[in-house]
Amino acid sequence: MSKVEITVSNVHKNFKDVQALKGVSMHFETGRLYGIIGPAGAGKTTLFRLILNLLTITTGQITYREDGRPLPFDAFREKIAYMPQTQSLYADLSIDEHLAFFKDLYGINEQEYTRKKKELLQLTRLDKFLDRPAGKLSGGMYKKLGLMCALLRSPKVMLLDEPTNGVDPISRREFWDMLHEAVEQGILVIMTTAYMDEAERCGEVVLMEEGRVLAVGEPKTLLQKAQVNNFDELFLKRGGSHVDNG
Amino acid sequence: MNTLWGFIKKEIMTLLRDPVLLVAILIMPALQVVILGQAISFEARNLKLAVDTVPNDMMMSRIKDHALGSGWFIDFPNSRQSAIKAVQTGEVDAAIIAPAGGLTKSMLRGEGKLQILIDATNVLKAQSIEGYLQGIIAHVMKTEYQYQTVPPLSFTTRILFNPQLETQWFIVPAIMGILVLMSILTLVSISITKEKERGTIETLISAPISKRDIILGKTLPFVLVAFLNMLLIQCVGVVLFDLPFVGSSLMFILSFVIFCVPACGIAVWLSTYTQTQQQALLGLMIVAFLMMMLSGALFPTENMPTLLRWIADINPLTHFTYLLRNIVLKGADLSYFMEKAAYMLITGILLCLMAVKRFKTTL
Repeated sequence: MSKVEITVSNVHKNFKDVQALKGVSMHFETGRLYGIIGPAGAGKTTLFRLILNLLTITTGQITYREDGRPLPFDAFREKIAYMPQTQSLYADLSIDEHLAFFKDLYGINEQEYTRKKKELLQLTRLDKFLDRPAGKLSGGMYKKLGLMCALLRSPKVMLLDEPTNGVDPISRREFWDMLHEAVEQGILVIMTTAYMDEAERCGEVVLMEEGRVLAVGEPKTLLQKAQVNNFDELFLKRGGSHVDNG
Repeated sequence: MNTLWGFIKKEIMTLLRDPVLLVAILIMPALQVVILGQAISFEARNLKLAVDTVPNDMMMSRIKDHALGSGWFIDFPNSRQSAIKAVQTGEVDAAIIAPAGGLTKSMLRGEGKLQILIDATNVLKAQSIEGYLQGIIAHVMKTEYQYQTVPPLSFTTRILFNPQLETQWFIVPAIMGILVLMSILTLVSISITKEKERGTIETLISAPISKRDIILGKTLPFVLVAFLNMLLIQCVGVVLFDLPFVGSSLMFILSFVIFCVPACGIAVWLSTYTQTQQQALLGLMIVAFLMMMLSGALFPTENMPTLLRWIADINPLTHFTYLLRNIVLKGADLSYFMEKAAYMLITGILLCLMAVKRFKTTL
């Protein structure tokens, strides 16, 4: 199994008059579930879009490696699956049609597709709703379909932007099981969330606020260091009056 | 290739899911041809004519008989006082007023001065009336009274290709061109901005898929729809208006394919400026309106000021309309086809280059 790494070094991103990222650095590698935690406006989505080359970096650098060798983004792109925060599925197309479309979009062969589709449908338990259009799915089902589309082509890296936002607690738990499953299969999973309680489920967390990285590390170690019980307290203790602004 | 095919399948599926849109793009154009074909007529008919003279003026009554017999005019009985007034108030479209004492008498004296009054609020109509009346009067004078020189006009116009002056024949190919343009512009730019509006564009451009495939996938399905539209309009033309089809089908199809290059170019280019469907609709309305007005599809471009004529010359719709008319009515020869195709291709390639350059794969 190949190992991929993404290194973000001192990245700044300015929009017209807003500094979205003020020099952030972090490192991600295969085998872990990374959570980028922070209140709304912390720069989480911007960071993802920069990693995906959907936006251009103002200053700084992002490097991509596979088995230690640096790769240009164009070569790396096909290894990344991305699930945007905004609703990004076609309301008129059914679950089955979505899978077929993404199969063609990613150029997956028929055999692989049949196998993968069966596996994913079992995992998400969406097999009973194959003909239902995405516009008529519940919040949780919608997110699961998004995840299925992202997982369809066996990516090496998965970027999930607030995947559990607006999802009921039971679906959220199922969603997390799917994410851990993906990590076990050797996928580097990076997700963002504004739910502080979800931070503790991650292998490693990056705490962000107002375009800066506050702390990086394993959730337990971070909490111990700050001598708090949970991440809500941690943010409050850091003077984060912005937690509730979201 | 597979990616592109998947894309096209998806676009067609979403299109089929939207019954309102489907009706709007396939049924409406056919309806438009039926209605516009009947309504837009450059030929004036049922013109109200007043003839004003003294009783027993044989020449005038012969002219009147011929005018009414021609089918263009209908009678308006009147007295001398009301003839001028009737034109002024718009009760009649034209009036012929004989000299004092009647035309017959004054012609005998050798001074036949006929007064013709035409309501020229509609210039096109007025021009036809003038032509009709001069023709009728000259005819009566010549055949019934052997005046060869009064009035000294002789008409030798031979009307080619559309001898009955069927205006529908002329307008149907023009509407065809306009509707092909409209359907491509609307569908392509709406479908691209819809992805932007819904946020699905983020998935698309983050997928390992080339800019070329995205653009082709977003245009080809609608080119297909536009082609169906064009065939439908041709069928309506044939069934309803006895529209002939003189030229080659291959040329017909090729000219459509070539016109799609600039049309898609404009649509994609437009959609690079718009973020929402409303913006796209407004933008394309402005562009489509200008292209329609300055294309010779509805008004001849020859009468326009130089600057506007230049624009008309660049406008790909101009060349498409002329080419379609030529193919359908005359059976265009190869050199004519090549000339028009070259114009469309050059503007098309330029527009596509502009569109591709502006089409971003970043947010």
